[in-house]
Amino acid sequence: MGLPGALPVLNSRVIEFAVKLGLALNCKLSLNSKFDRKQYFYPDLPKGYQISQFDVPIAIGGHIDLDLPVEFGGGHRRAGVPLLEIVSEPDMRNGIEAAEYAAELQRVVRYLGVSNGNMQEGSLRCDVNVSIRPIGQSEFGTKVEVKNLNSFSSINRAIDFEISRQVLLHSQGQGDSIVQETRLWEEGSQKTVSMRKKEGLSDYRYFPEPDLPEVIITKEYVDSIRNSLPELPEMKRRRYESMGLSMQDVLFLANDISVAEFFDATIAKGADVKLATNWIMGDIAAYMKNEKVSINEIKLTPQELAELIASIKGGTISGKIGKEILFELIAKGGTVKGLIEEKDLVQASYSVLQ
Amino acid sequence: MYVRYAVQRWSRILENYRAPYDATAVRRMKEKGAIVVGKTNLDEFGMGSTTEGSAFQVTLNPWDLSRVPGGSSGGSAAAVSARQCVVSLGSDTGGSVRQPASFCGVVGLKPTYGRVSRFGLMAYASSLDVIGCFGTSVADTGMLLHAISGHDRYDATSSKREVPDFTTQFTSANLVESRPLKGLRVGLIRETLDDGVDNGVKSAISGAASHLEELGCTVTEVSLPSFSLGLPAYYILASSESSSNLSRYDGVRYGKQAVADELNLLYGDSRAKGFGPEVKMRILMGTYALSAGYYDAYYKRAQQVRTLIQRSFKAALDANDILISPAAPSAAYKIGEKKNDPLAMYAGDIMTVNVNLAGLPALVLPCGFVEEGPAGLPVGFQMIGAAFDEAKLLKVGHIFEQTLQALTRAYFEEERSSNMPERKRKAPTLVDLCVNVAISHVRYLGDVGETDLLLLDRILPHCTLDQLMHVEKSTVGRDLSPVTDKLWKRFYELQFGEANANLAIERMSRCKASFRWRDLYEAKLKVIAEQEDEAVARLRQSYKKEDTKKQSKQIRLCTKVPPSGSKRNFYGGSGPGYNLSNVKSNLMKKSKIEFLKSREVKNIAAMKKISVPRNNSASTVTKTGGFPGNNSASSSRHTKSFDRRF
Repeated sequence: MGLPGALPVLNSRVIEFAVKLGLALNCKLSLNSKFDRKQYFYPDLPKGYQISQFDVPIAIGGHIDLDLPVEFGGGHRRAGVPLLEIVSEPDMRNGIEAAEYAAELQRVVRYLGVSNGNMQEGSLRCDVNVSIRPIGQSEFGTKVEVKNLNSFSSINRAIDFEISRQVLLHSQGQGDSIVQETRLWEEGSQKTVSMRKKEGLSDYRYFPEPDLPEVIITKEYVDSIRNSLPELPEMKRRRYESMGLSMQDVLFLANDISVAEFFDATIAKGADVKLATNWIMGDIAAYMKNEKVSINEIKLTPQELAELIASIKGGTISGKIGKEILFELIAKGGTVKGLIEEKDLVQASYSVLQ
Repeated sequence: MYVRYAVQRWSRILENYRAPYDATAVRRMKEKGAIVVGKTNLDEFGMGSTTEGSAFQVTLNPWDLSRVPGGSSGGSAAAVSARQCVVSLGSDTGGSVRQPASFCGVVGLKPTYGRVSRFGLMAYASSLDVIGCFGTSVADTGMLLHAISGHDRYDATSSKREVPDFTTQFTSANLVESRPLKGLRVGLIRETLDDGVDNGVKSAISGAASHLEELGCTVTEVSLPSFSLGLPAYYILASSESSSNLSRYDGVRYGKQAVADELNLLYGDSRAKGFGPEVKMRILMGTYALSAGYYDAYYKRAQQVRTLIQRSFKAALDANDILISPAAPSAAYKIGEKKNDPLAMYAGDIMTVNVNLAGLPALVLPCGFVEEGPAGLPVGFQMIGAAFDEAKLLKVGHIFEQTLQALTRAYFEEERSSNMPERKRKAPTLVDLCVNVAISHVRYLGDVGETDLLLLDRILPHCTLDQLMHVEKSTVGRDLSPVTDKLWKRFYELQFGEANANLAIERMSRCKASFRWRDLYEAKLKVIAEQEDEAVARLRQSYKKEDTKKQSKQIRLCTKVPPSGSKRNFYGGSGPGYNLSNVKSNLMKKSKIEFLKSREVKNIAAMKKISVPRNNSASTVTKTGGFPGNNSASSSRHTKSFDRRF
């Protein structure tokens, strides 16, 4: 916390997470990386500098051109909390693309268990840089940074607002008044407002951090992490697709790691893929939405869902009764067999008649 | 014993700050049962070589009270030298343990970088800082080092290497064989005996070298070609790192905070008032060396020099077991001698900084005296070993010391007793005891009542200026001037210089008047304050002048709208206007209108319109922004100033 005499210590989990994320994003990892000090004065920066990776980040050049340095955050609420920064190249052209990109990153960090990825808690934060470039021009225009984006929709809308603001200024011949600055997204007015102008390029006086040794990771370490990587969203989607699910189903199931895990567990118990999808996307999703709970909080287990599906498919109970039981199972728990016996719901005649 | 870490580091900016934890070195010492008797003085943040840079006190050298104890950890060295404690800790960034050890005639040890945790040591230059040990003997110093060494999870740069038990090295003097160091290869660094090193120091070092030879060592000269580059490289690297390390002292969370209503002012004022001049200078140097565009020329090159130095030490230590050199180019010098000459002070670090750049361990121990001061002044020599081989240094140092000690001790005892007969042990009287107590609590003195002047004469000289002022003010109805007058004279001299004091004496004798020095002091303060006020007023005046000048310039720009139509057209850029407000008589007005309406003028205007460059954004603004044409003087003026501003 910047007390006199206190020294920074590198958290080995941070390196593990950085390597995980770097691998997940198909980055090139550098086995030797070092830390640098980035210096500026700010009241919530207790040491007067931030420990960051300046010229040798741990991972570079990812799948969608990602740059991944490790940074020790400065702010008072986040002082000393390690920060993995993902810098992307100027590859995105509008708000929706950027928001999609951010959402995919969120899925990746959640799948990896690197962070809970909750934007409203600040566990995942996003600053965007927007510049416009008239058709035919090769260099980018002046870039404007937008902060205070705490949801994907605000990323989307802030970028679109910023683009239209800049285009308007440009078309009115006031291109000069697009200056390098930091703007804030105001949720209320749905606008960006100027926070501070950057007077020229700040001189952060980077130099190698003397309090932390170089980070040296071995190839074996990287390989062991590579082998322990979980199935990532992209792979999961491909797999679901190959199971014959529609794109809409795939996107829904793979969106949330816990839903995907629930689904995987259900089909592992032998449930029919399409039926399991329908139940999860239909009644279970509706229940979760109404009650505002996550799939981990409901009482239904994948085992019982598989059982339920099998019972209906096997003709033990009808679909209608299945639905009734389902809500019992979600709200109170219990087993399918138990409930059928308890309520004497076996459609004996039905199956006999068949 | 000495605790400095995680306390004030003798800077105003940390006045009244108390650390909430013990430094690792201190904690380990305490765990082994050490009794901490106090904190000692040092140069602010360890920046200095004399301990004069402390924000609070100047420490005196016990061997000669008119001389500096060295620095920055001068207080620790002086305390051990005066036998106020057995061992003490210090920090060594560029020689701050070894040089004072040499000046004060004690043993000083700088361990390998990483041997001792720096957790709790207020960082000066993180890649160079090491916590070091002082002791009256090599054995004590080695015990202290053993107590504080080892890996610490709170310091990522502390080494995980095993710490050998240094204390097993120390064999008793009478068990030492005749040539105990037989076969030890000792390299005498040639560059350390160049010009600029005192002859007394040189002869003490060659004495030490021949003593080592007598002990069985083979002493050869070695050359470290990059040796002289160490000093500039050190000052660049140390200043750069300190400029960053000291940025946490901004007065926001702890320490002295200035009163300001704006953030940058708060930082600026807190730091301006909190840091001393030497610290400020190094922060400025470091900030400069790290700035964009200078980094490659300074910081990067200094790092390259550092690599060269590390290599040359490596080569020299491959060929030799230990290297030796003086610990400082001279013995202790007078207080104030180098205070205003930082370069001369920096140059005194030449013997020690290279070792920090290479991160190696070094031991300094007394090896002789130069004939100066009341009792001679001690000279130390430095032994440099391979990384993490403190054990060898301590072993050699112990034998050296044991075989040389008889000589040193005799010198020490004899000189002390012959030069200071009044120090001879005698039971103190009750009065002496009381006076001593009063002196040690002098900061609490207020009204001295009817205390005998003779006693006051012994007590009051220990007051600082503020304390003396307080005593005199509190003691109502009694004139203490018989005792205090000479003290005030001293303060006067200290504050305003001897020249000014002599001037005052001269003036008094000229007008045959005699004033008390306290009044003179206060009067002088007032005069200085007035002068400052005047200077401030003058400055303010000149600022004001500048301001009005600037303003009048601006006004001129605005009012300089030319009355003539053609010129205005040029600025307005949109053809001739019917600007008639400046035309006085009706006749003139009429003729002007006719003129403006004429075909010819319109053609000229059209031509101008084409030739005026229109690619700037301002002209667009003018058109779309609601300033249509220039039908009236006022709007035309407006347009113009708008134009200008863009």
